[in-house]
Amino acid sequence: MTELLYPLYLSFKVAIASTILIFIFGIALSWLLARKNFFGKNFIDVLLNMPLVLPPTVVGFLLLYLLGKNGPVGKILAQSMNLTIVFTLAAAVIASFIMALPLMIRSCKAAFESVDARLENAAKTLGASDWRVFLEVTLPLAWKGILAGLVMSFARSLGEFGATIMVAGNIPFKTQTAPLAIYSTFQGGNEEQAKLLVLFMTVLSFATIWAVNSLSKGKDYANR
Amino acid sequence: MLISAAANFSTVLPEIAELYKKSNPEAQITFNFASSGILEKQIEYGATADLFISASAVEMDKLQGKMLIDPASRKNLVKNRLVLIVTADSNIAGNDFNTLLDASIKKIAVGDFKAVPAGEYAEEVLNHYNIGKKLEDKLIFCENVKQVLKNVELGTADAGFVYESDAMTSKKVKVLWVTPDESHSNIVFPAAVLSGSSKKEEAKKFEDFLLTKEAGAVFASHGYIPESAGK
Repeated sequence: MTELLYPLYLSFKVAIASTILIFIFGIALSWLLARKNFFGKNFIDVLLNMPLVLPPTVVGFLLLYLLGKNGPVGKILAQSMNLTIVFTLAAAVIASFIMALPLMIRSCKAAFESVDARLENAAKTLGASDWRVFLEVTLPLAWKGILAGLVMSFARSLGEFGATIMVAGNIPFKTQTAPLAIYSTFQGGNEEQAKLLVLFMTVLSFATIWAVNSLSKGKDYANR
Repeated sequence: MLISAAANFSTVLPEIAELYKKSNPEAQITFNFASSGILEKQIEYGATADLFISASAVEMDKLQGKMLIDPASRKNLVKNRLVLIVTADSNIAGNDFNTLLDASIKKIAVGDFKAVPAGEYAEEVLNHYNIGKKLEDKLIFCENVKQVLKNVELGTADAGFVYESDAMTSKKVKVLWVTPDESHSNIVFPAAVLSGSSKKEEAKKFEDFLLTKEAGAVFASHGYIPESAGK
């Protein structure tokens, strides 16, 4: 049974960690892109969309190059902190984060752009600080798009395969998430096990997203 | 110790590892299963592994050329045979290469000639009998051997080239023809200790175990031909 459950456990662990990172960086970057102008803005916007367009294997290659022992980032981490990222669960989280971030940004950026700036300005004229405007005006009005982005990112992270297998490896009980386990059992000739994994994965994913959708009903701040 | 092995071994190698642990209980073996191409790239980019087991000589040659393996430790573990399969309830008769030219075979699934070892061997067979050109329109290229098997199982292809070990796993296909050894290069699955490994002794010990009769029996039960059997 653990052979079936452990990959699912790892998948959820990775997806939750990745989604937390995406929540922080995704909202921050989306807000900057929606509300601020700065040098290189268009370039960064396009760059952040690249993982959507590139095949996951290509992104995986890039991450492997960067984070490997001889790569620009990997070398520094290895020499200064004796840290290896390749073939660890951290690498799986990074792979999911990179692949899913564009989805979050697209959704949040659109959500922030649709918030009427006049409402934010009105709050400011009433004396609210920037931070308070963000928390009490912008976020509540944009929250549907933010939640949609989070759900998409979580789902994308759960299903991540191409970049993950490249940089985290397919190591049972260490980095073998459910998609990798399905691939392995199928490639190894054990189709029955693969089918079971698919079933478990489908049921769990379905339940998760159903739950999130249910929680989001009936809280419509924009149309009160 | 970490063993990077081709994905087709993802069921048989853990079985052998369990056997090995009976006589070596302190042994810590973890596996990393992926296509040989991905494994080779990981090793090139400095991912630490101790033993590498490839699905063809091509990747092993590449690593050897870059001095990333211990050449003395390079050994062929098992062999396989390339077979032509059809759907189990198929009425297609014939048991040699001419069957491929038959009108009743409209689609033939093969591994991608450029990227999949089983596809490369299939291409060699077709060229050996000079029927490659005639079959061009019938070929369906698949990303890996298991996809070829699936296509024939489901009937989306009338026939396909897979390894004997793959044909064995499915009751929904039957073997029509076993390609003779001389129609393609040797189908070998090489293993080698990696030069960047910090556990070379352990890796060598496990590699040696893979070549024993005990391990050979497990390989054989999955349709592979142990190297020792040929001697």
